[in-house]
Amino acid sequence: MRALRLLIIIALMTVAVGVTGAAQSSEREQGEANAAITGRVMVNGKPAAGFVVMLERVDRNREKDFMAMFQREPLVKATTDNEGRYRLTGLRAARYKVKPFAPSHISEPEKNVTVGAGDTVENIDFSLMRGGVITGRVVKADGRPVIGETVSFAPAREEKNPATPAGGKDEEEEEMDEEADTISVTTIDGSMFGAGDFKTDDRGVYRIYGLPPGRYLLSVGGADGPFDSKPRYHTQTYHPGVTDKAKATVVEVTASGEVANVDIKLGLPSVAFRVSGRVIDAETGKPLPKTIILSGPAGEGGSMASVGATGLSNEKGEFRIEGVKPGRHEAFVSSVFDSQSEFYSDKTAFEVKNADVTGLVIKAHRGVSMSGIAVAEGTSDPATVARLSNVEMIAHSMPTAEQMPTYSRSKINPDGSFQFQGLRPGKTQISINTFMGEKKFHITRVERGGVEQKEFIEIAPGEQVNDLRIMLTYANATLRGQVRIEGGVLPKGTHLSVTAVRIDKTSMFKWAGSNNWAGSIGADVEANGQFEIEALLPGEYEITVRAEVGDGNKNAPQIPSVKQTVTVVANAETTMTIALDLSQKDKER
Amino acid sequence: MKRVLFLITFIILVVALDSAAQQADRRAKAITGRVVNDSGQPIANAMVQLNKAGARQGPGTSTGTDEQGSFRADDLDNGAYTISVWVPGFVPAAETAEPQYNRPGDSVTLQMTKGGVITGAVTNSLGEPIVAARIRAVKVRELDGRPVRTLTNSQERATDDRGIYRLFGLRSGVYLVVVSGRSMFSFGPPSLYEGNAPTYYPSSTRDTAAEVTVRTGDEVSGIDIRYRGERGYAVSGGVTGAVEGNAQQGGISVTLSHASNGFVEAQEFIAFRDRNRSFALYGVPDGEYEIIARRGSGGEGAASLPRRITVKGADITGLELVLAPTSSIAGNIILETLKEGERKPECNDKRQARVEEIVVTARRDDKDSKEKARPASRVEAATNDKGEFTIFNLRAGLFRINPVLPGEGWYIRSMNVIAAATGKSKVVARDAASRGVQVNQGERLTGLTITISEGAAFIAGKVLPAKEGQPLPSQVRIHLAPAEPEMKDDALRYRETLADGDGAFTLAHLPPGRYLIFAKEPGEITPGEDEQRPVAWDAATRAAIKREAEALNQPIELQPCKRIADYSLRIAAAKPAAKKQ
Repeated sequence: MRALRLLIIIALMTVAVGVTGAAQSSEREQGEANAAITGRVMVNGKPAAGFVVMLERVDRNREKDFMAMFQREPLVKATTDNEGRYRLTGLRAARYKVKPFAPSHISEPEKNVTVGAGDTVENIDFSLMRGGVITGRVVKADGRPVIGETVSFAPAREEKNPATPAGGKDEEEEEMDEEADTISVTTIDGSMFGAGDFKTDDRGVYRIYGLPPGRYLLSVGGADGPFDSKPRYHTQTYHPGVTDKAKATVVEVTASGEVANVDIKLGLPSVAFRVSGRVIDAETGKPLPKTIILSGPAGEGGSMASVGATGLSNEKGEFRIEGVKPGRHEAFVSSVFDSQSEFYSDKTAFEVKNADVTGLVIKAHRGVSMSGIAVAEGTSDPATVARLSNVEMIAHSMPTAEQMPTYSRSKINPDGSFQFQGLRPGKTQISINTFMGEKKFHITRVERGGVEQKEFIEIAPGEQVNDLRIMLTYANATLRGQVRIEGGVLPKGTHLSVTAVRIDKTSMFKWAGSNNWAGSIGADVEANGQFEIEALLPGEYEITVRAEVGDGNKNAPQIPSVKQTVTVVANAETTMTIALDLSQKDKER
Repeated sequence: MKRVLFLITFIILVVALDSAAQQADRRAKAITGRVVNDSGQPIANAMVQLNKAGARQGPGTSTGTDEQGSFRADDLDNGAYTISVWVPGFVPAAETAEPQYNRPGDSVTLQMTKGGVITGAVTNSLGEPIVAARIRAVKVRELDGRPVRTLTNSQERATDDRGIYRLFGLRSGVYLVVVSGRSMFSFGPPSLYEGNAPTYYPSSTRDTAAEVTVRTGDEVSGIDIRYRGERGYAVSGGVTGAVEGNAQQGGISVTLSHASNGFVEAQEFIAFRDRNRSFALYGVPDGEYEIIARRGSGGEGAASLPRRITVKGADITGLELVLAPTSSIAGNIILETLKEGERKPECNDKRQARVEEIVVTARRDDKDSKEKARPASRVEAATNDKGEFTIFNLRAGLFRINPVLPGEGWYIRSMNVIAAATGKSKVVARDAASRGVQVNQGERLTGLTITISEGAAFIAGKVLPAKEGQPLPSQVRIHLAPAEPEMKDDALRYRETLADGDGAFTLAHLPPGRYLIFAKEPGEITPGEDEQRPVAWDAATRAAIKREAEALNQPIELQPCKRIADYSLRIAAAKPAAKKQ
């Protein structure tokens, strides 16, 4: 079943991307393959022989593309000699990610290295430490094994000293997951979903390795997704068998240590219920068929991630949502998964106690539509203009605490036309879907009936907006920079990153900023201190350099980040130098 | 990472809801059932998934079992459903050659048993553990020697920090255990082993791999692998031709399979972001392969011709796979119920059938091609309430059509391709049962009319040895041939089956009539042949069977709805010519 799901995802992704169109051709490999990267791998300060260092070419067009997950270039690898030295040779001039493959070790983050034709970049060194192991068994109340269950761990947090998340090798984790205190073990290197590596086996046994030393809470259950609509479920249960996190036994693991018998005994499963009802058109009272209903715990606001269950109405407008856990919930009609939907609804609150809920009525409203023309600004290059048809725009109503946002997606047709529908009246923003299709365009101006709309479009109930004009600018300015380290030496394993935020001088920024559907514009700083940010609009930017100390060095002093402004010039490469002063350690981050 | 996971959830949801939308019409009844273990005890919290036969891709309807092991899937459309049960570590206790279909109104008991386990350690040539390598078990044969019915691999697992792996939840069978270079569904951080050729247990290529036999409930340990870490080669190229399709039909896949046995070595899905439709399969070991590109899964699609390639010590680049539209076979089903006068008491308690419950399958019949044994060559289509069906995505060739009948009381009376009368030419009916259906590349053949009638007969019985006290041969085949001379060319009146180990056999869905029956030791039989390709498909073999049946002259008369439960059939002495040592 898992495999089937993956196949479906793949099939769907190819469809979805097929719809939004093909992207620009990827960088072709050019030049002679005569560059090299060399360095040394140490484990606990001693040269490490027999470790393999891997290298992957970074193609910026691929890097941020969701599809790149499914396509991969061949790896280049080299094994360390008795002195721990490696040599990756025969490389073409390009940007690479370099990292040792050492899943049972804790490693510094991968390093970005740019090599020119014929260059040899030296001293790309790594220091590793063998990770700890936690192993045990997960059993049911009657002692039978729990098979195929994912064991989660979280750092046991102490006051005043917030530990870095153990899965923090992935910097997105922190950004996306601020409140989550459970990290799925599958984010550790060397394992990913698909293989199910850290799940319990047929005996209920699990084994987590490569753990940074520290104190952990181990648990199973709890987290679930829209497909876990089982009639029975387990509440999150911690080692050795408690649901109260405060009573959980903390497991302390040392580097290269192994803690066994960290067993988790589950209690009796709880019962989930079925919620059924009807969805009707609030104006006419008629049932709405084929309408998607989402449901999630009450009070979790506009976060789609909190959606726990789904239902779909039949011809009579009747729907059923399975596997709803006791508690207060909210159900609503959503267009997020159905770009053809013309309806939206407010949240309908309901409570599940210890029985199925029937007769829930969700009143949906016909949403407003918006249409108009999109034009490429500041270029007459036919190739650039043609790229517009690969852009997918998303219109979304700006959510309030009480309302779920509505979304509508639209392509830009060859004649420049587009149409959004099913939107909630009120403030609406338009952005570019940077997950799929062409993403170098920024929305730089939005007009309605010839009048510039700043920040958002206000739509009255029942209104049909058909006179929008959206100007998109192809962003082709590049910023190249050098981070200069002053007042000391960067601690080993420090990861530097840089972000660029356009300074709000005009209303244009409001729309340009909304391009960041997939995150802010940023880049990693390479081992040699260089960075490069592509696809910027011209203008003044605030550049921030942040330093993160690597996993193995949790207690190292924090390094303050630095900010600097720069003016980026259109159709050109702008260069800058930023100084990171390590002597100023007490400054606020 | 969280973002990616969320996005994937989002996408799964989209697909789930899309497919549900297609099924929202004509909801009717429920399929209920129980999931139990070997001792009949309920299995609670099992995931049960019902997929409508012939439906477009999508996860179907899923539900779970309660404390009594019971499940209920209601509001189902009329149609035939396959039911799969997901209990981690468990597998179905019984496996059948063809998918089993259930219909709304059915109540089923699904028995699950603990799957087999294969465990061992993977080390390199120095004896050091190979960590986080992907490992899986690939089933190559059933325990009784028949080829695998479906391309089932075990779940892919990874070795731990000690190099130890444990593959569980395995169905009984003969497996190869392989450390694969790259996952079939590879995302996530790159793995060291990507691009390497796979290493098979004990430290082999596929051709010299040792087989591992495992039975459900058993654990086979010590399957230690010495990892070779040899470089595999890349097979790359581009897909051209009919690459653009309806967006609803999915992307393009490129599959590389072993020329000798059809097992898939590598597969890639081409993303449309790549305008060149380029593909690259990495970590391919030396060998003879067939590579094919396909587009579309639910409706009309396209496929390339299979291309033979030989990988030997080097990458293969610049392959061009040209997609051409696939063919389809459309037609209709006529359900003939018994007239009141014909309805004898024994015909009665048969369940009422609906035409939508009939699944029509097409199986490629390339007698001379190595493709014949591939499970993938079976394509199915659902029938609508008017009896119409279209089997999509067929590559040019000869196909054998087999409708899956709605119940034991039904049989196939006739199967003809009727070419509509044009101008002065007459309506021509071509017997699709005897000759199969030939489609040309891109052809949309219509007019396949299948008549399914009520009143089928049934025989169950036992084969006895030629002389009392003798053992039965290891393989015994039972043949039915029509006794009426005018029926000698009707392939639907020939039937054959292999007896079980103890000589028991059943023949169901038999058209009423007079027959000749006999059992014999098949001269030369490829495992699985009986399921895949009845010998009566060829006119010459039919004539031979008829002659043999007439010589042995064991008549049997089957009235409509006749059920014979205890037929004893003595095996005919095998002809010397048929014996083979």
